[in-house]
Amino acid sequence: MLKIEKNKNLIRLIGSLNKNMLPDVYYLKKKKNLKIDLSALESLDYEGALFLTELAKNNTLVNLPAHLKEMYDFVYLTVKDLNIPSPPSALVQIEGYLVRILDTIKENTVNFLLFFGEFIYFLIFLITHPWKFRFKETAAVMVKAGAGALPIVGLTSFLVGVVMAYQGAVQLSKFGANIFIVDMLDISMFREIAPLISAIVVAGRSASSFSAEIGVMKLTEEIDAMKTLGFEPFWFLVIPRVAAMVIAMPLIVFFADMIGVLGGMLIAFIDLNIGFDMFLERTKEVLELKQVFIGLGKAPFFGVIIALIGTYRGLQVRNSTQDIGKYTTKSVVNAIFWVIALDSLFSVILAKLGI
Amino acid sequence: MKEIIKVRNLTTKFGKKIIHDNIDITVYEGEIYGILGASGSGKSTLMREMILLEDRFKGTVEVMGKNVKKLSLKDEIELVKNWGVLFQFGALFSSMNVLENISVVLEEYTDLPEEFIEKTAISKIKLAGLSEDVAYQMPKSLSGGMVKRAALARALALDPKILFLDEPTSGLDPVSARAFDSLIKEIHSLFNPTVVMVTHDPQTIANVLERFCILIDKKVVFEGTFEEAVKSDDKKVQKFLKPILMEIE
Repeated sequence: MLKIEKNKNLIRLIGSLNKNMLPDVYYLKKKKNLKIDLSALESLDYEGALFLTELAKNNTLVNLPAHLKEMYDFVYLTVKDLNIPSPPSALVQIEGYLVRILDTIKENTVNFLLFFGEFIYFLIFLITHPWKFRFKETAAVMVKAGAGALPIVGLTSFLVGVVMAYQGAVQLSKFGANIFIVDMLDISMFREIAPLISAIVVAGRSASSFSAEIGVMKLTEEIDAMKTLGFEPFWFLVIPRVAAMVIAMPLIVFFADMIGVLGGMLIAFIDLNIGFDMFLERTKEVLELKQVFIGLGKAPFFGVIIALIGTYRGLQVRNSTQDIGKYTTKSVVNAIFWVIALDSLFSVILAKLGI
Repeated sequence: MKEIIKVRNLTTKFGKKIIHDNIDITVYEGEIYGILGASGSGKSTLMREMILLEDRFKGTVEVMGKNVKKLSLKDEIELVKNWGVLFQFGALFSSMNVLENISVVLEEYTDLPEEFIEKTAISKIKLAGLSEDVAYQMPKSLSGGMVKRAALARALALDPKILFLDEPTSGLDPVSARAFDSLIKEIHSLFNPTVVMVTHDPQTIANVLERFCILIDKKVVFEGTFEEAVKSDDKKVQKFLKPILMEIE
């Protein structure tokens, strides 16, 4: 506890002056020409001593007890020529901010071109040296990012199939055109919906995990260790992931096709009284193989873009844990955006070609 | 002397792997105590058990008279305020600059005015042997040694009664390591905290530690002062000390 006795210009501090008591006496700092008697002071902590050195500037301290002198002197010496640096001013900060944005844009462009160049280089390397391909890593990624995605992709496309069939059923039954639910479901599911849904789910799942994995490897200097051992990170980390996604994506999409149509079939049966046999009979008539292959054909491209963005963002992590969060977020957002952008590009091209 | 940390019948098992097998150690108030042992002997785990970061153990760990396994959340915070911890790689908060890393502790636990907190924090940066100019730098732009000093400044922010140091001199060059040793001794003589450290550094063991324990094969094979250890005729202790004695000669 701290007690303060006042007698005109003489202040007596009694008890212990520590960081919890300081707010009570802080007002003394504004006063001048006081005589502060410390003879009854029992203890002093770092903050207390620092406060006394501040008081000593405009006031006189007297009778500092001998056992507190060491502490006081130490703090006094520490802060005697302390220069308090000022935080960077707002203008400098804004300028720095703008410069940083420009730098980031420049850096991102250069980095992405370098990354893409490296990708092309190793693609050629892969074609000329196929026996050097890392099968084990690729298989591991296929299991984790491919087979692991099946449950959630299946569930999502099943639900989308259900939703589409429900919405279609209401409209079609108005015109008594119940059977056309099959045309609608088959063509849209195989050609557009299943590839897009599975690509988006996989982008959310795998782009983030690629970025985080590689980002942490970068933080723990594993990537540097690989480089010093002559293992090219691109060959060991990026190519297997890209290859795995190229192979896995069409399989995932095919699985999504089946489950999505199954969802629609179920609703068609419940809501429109179209039996499974009738549904399948109609499917045979309306579904051209072309539609299925267009959907499956897009899948490898989605796989490439997801794997490339995931690994590229992971490799951008530098030296702080915050980078992991930042680049993982970026990789998911970018991957989903590019999947949709690529899909619309395909739509335009295929429409122009009249397929 | 008063006991400040008491470890009794401590057994730690991670799965089937036994880390500590029924060990006892005692740390007395105001001393500089070392936890020594080979890599993987559970030194850091022992320290983590003292600072409430690890509770997969049997036996009792008492810090400042409180059993760390039987604390309410409120008691835990009260206890935690009594110590400062320096992690091996600093563990500075990467989203804050150096000054904020230190002042955040004072802002959280005291009612001091902002300008005074700033001054205290900057003086502690200086006390830890850094230039005041690093105050507004982010941790990622500091070197390993600077990170350690900044982390020490944060550990000292609340004038702790116990200072836990996890390999304070690892990763520092010999000159900085000795400077760090004397800094710890200076802080110890001034604020008189109990210092508990995990270390491998022979110079630190010989010159800084007042008492220490040696963990070998899941057991504490020795507890006492350096002189006692040198005189000990236990083979394991002698084998452990041999390279250290050679190093300091």
